[in-house]
Amino acid sequence: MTETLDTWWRDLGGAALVGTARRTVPAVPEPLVARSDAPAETALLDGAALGHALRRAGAEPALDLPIPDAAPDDERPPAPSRARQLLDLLLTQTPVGPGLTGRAVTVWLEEAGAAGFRVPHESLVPLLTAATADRGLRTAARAVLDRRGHWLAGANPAWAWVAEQGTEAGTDLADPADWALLATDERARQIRLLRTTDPDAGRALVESAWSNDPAPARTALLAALGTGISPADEPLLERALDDRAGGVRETAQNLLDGLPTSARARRLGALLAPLVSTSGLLKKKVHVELPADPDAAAVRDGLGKALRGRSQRGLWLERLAAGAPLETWTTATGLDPAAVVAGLDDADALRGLVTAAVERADPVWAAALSDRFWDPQLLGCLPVDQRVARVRRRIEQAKSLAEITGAAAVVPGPWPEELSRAVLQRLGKVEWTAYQLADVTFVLATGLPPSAAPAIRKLAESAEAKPSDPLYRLAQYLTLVPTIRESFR
Amino acid sequence: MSRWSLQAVEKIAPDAASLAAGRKLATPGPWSETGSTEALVWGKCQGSGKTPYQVSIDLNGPAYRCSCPSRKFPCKHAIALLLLWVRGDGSVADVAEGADFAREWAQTRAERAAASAARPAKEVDPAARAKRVEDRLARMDAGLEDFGLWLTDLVRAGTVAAKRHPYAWWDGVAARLVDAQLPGLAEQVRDLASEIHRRDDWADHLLGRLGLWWTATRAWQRRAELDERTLADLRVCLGWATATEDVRTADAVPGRWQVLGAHRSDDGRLQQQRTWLREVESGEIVVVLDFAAGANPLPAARLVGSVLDTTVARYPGSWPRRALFATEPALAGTDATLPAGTSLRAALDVRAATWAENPWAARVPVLLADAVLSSTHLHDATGAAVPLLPAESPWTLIALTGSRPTTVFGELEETGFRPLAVGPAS
Repeated sequence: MTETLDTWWRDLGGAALVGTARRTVPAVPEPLVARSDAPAETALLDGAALGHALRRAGAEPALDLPIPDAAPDDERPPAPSRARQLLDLLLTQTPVGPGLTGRAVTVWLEEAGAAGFRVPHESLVPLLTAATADRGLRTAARAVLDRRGHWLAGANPAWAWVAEQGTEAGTDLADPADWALLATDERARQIRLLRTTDPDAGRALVESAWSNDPAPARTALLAALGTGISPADEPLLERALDDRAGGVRETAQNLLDGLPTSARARRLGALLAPLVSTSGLLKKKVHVELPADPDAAAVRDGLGKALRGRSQRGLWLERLAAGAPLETWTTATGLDPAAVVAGLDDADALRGLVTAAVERADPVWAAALSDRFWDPQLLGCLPVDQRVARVRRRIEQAKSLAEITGAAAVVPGPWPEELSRAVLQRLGKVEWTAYQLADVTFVLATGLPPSAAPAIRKLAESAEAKPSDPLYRLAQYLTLVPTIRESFR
Repeated sequence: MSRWSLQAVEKIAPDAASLAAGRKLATPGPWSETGSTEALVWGKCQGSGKTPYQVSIDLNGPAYRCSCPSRKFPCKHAIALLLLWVRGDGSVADVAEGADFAREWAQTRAERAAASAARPAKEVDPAARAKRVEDRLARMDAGLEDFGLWLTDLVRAGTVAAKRHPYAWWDGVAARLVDAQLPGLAEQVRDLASEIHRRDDWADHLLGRLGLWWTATRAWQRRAELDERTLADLRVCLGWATATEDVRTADAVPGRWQVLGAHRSDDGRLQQQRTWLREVESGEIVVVLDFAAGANPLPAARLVGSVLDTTVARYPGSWPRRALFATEPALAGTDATLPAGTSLRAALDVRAATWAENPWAARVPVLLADAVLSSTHLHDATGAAVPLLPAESPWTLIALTGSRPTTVFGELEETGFRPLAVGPAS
């Protein structure tokens, strides 16, 4: 019966497509009955009504489809209800504004992870959606999705990143054979990742393709060796000093600035030492002579041509200072680093010294230099407690919002109390616009303690800010963080 | 009463813009004199003007009042206040007594409800009414006669020719149907026009639609012979609305109605909200329909799982009956679980039986037992499966069930199933 009916319906459909003017309407199959006297159009419409009613009423469910595997049992208990509400709030109607939501969600996820909880099932879809858009959430999200979340993400290609374990952690290194075929940016990224765990293997990879890679690739890959650089890299860098390509040579020179025990450092030290002397009654003035024309070996070490507008000898001096061992200065003058920096007046030499101190992360020289110059990179070489005092001094004289946050950002959050206080005090004394503030709330949010919330709110009130102002958002965020922590206890 | 969930507040928002505006205001900053009791939430919100807006919310309705001039309902202030309230962080604290302005309003509301219940129905002039009906019938007669001719012309020339017509041609047909006071048919013609340009199986789909419309045309010719119920079904198909006053006074049943599930759709012309209710004792299922055109807001959605103490009045027609709230619903509970379901095959049988009664029924409400949701299908314990309707994302329900067998409530249509609510996983 079904077959006859199907054939009839197909034929009826055929007649409908081309029209009853051109095709006869098929007769209704037994045992169905139809009006005998009806004109063709009526017969077709009658048939359509009858056939449609029969077919849809008799529709059978599909039977041979595989039933999906149920999600495995979760291993962790769901987050407590107060925490669930907070996550819901952050994901659907964040009170802290778009700039700080990711940060607040990350706090939630990390707290949940540490307390041994999982994301509740009803928040899985919003969280996966949010972390699909914001990569920064992924690592923390993965840890608390639990089995249900991983299972769910496995069923939806849009959430495939969940299963790509460790792309952010760097364990997905390509096979060396495949590595050579990747795009240069990706090859460099992989080298950087590999250098954090196995620097020698990273260098070996770069060397394996050295003779075949074009100049831009050699430059990029050599620069990637800046991660985890050590004296073991010196032979390759020495070789690169003779490279055909200027970019490769320059990269090698810059990297060798970070290796004070290298042969190049000794060579440059030998050139620099005779130029340095002390003068004055107390021998406290440090004097540097400008270098003479370099020979071929010195040019190879980086004493090349200066760009237009730059003093040629000044550049050479800077390169010498950046590349020579720092002890050259103390030996030649008999002074300690602080005294050398205090007695030196040559801008080129000082600039070179800053490079040398930063590249070698030398805390003693960095401390000495940062007393004379404000340079975040120099401060980065200092232990945190030494940074704070200098940052505070800087903030107390800051004239703009960017100066305050730029200085404060040198100290990783949460900031020590004295620094937080300095930041808050200065914030009340400089002018800013909401836009400028929106750019820096992230720094303030990571640095300031929750107890700063009332002060921030007061600041917002005195500035007559609107409720959506970044300052209110920041105050909300600072209030929210301890609430999130509390909600897991 | 316990505080609502955040989702519950989101669902009452009339549209996304109001919700977004509410979220912006949901900070303690602009609020003062806030508080909540068992039945009321209130607060004052400082807007751009000098006097703050007074916002009161009756949680039992729920009903909203705000002194702001917004035509959105509930307005952003009410939404913001609820958002603050559900947060439960003390910004809207529980107190024993409501604020004066909120209490007064709740009292007036109660008095007005009592008054309207007591007021007799509006007087109608039977003669004028009969005349109006007669005019309408004449117009519908002529319109359906035309429509029948259009159908026969269409199959004489062939549906391939019809597919070549631009949308405007179909729209013209729909406009003539509207003129003939057949808006229901007009809507279906417009839907079909977009369907046949979208679907691969358009020819089959079109033939089925032609069959249904032909049935409607023929049934109208013989309307004197139709029983009351079928005539009512046909009226719904054609778009001849039943006046709400007529419904309110007719077939009303008091009871405790559980909200099984709700669905909102917006096709650009019209927003529709369907709320499925089930009487807890008798098990009868009805659907409450709300419509809003253009930017007007839909009435607040009922919370799924809540139980409403109310009298619903049913529209004429066959199962599943449309209904309206004859009395203001009172919330009697919030955490009702779904009742037991059936197999998918039994649900398909229900659907077929519904069509046997009413060939124009678009969907039937079904409760399925031990059903498993995947991203594309719903499977039951016997291994039978039905595709999910493509418009909605099933992921939230899949996340909740983990593809474990659960009771699932949803709408079964001709081409598939739309899950609306799930029970706890077994």
